[in-house]
Amino acid sequence: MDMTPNQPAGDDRDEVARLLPELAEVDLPGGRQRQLQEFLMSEIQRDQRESGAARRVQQRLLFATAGLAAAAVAAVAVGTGALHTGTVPAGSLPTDTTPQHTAQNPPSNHAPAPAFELAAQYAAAQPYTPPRPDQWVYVKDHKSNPSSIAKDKGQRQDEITEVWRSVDGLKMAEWNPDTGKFDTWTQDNGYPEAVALPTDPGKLLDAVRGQLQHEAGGVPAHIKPSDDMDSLLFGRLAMILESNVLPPPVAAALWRGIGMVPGATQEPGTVMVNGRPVVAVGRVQEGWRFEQLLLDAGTHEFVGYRSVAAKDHTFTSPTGPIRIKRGEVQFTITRVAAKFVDKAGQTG
Amino acid sequence: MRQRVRQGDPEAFRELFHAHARAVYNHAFRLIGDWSAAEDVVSLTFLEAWRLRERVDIDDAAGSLRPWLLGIATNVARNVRRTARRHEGALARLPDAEPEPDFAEGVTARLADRERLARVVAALRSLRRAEREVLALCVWSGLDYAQAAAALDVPVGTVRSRLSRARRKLTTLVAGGVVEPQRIRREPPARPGQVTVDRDNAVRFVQEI
Repeated sequence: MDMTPNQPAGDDRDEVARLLPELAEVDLPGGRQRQLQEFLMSEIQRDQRESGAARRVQQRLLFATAGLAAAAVAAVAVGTGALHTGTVPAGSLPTDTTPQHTAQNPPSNHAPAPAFELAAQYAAAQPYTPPRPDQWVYVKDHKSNPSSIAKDKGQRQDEITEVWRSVDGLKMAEWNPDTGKFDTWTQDNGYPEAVALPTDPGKLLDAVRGQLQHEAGGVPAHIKPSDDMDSLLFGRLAMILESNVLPPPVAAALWRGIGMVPGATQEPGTVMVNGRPVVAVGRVQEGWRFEQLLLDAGTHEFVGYRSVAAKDHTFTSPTGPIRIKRGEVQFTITRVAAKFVDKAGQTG
Repeated sequence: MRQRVRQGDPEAFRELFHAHARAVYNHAFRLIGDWSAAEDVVSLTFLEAWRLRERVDIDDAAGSLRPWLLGIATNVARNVRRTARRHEGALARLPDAEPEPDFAEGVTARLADRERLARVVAALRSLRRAEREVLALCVWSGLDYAQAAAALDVPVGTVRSRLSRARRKLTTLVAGGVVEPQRIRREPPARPGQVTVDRDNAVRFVQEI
């Protein structure tokens, strides 16, 4: 045994090296290294722009971008959210839901599909008791990953995700299925900002669009071309809705706001998801994924989220191209529970 | 370099990425056995490095920042989910890989390299995670014991004992034919400050100047 603390020569390390086959390092595929480097540089620039007081606010709003890219990366389940628990007097519900048009949110010829309004009405009518500042938002989802991409990434085909967000906006927690351990960590989770969003859909769109435009300012052109503002806006609104237990007026405004995003549409008829008839509303993102918010066909209660290939698409994996057929479901998230609890780890 | 990184000089991070992304990529694959996920670990590792930059020791005598990055990568690979949540906003902006022609020059050879690596990494799954981490850092990434200990935030003695256990298990795997040992003596592992550059990488470097 080598007794020199920092010098490994002549001991277990050399022996292990001898026992293992020679392994050459491989490069990142194609232009991926340069692409990821540009991504890093733009994120650094973005972080620098968002310094100081503005940074906290923006980071908190960023919670909502628990994007589908993140889900693809590491099975980071997005929460879902317009379900409410507790009670609140009906008198607290908004009476005027007509969106106000402003400079940023001009009136358009886009008539929202009826299901958005029905979902808003359902959300607005739910009982709700505001949480205490020391409570947590608990969201439990079932996620299935039947896609070719998920198989390539070795992701689980099915998993239950449980996430806790502190109502004060400062912490997050979850059961990690990879380690079997319960993790709690400090992270701005954006909950205080979400509950404070405008309850007028037009003003809400202005607020979120303004935030996105600020974030996009000066960002180099590495961002995917399909990341146009409408695409970002839809994704952000959907995630705010999904990740939280929100006051009914805010949830209703979000549904109406999503319906107003250009390209937002309703799939004709009903579709069967996990044996349940649902109405699917959403938007085709990045030119090929139809991202759908799922509503109970009878009540228009929000029940989940899924992503379906709207056309044939080829995904470039490090191990080769993956061809995705139109209609292939990328993932489906169904809500199991959403409520306020007293402690992280508590489920009821 | 350490001072520039700690002060948040973006160009320092560009250089850092250029110099070490490949090492992080390979290290990540050796830990998790999946190339696509290893790409994600690369992005998350450098986002974490930016977030944690103020923890860097500015003493240049502390050497290359590669051990620091590999330590971050090890932590990220250990808990990709949590790190991804921390950077979920950024990941939503992560661009898809650009399509590469199926018959691009070198693709077949690269896939063969990847398959060979995958077989070895799969064979090592019987080692405990902590043992694989030490093995990957000390043997494949060329860190010395002190660097590996600093990267993993454990005592040097722990690194030694984990590697010793890994050696015993490997001996069994080789005896059982699960792992095929190298036939030709490899070059000694890189020492601190020594940068391993193969021919392809050198060509690429020249092209990018």
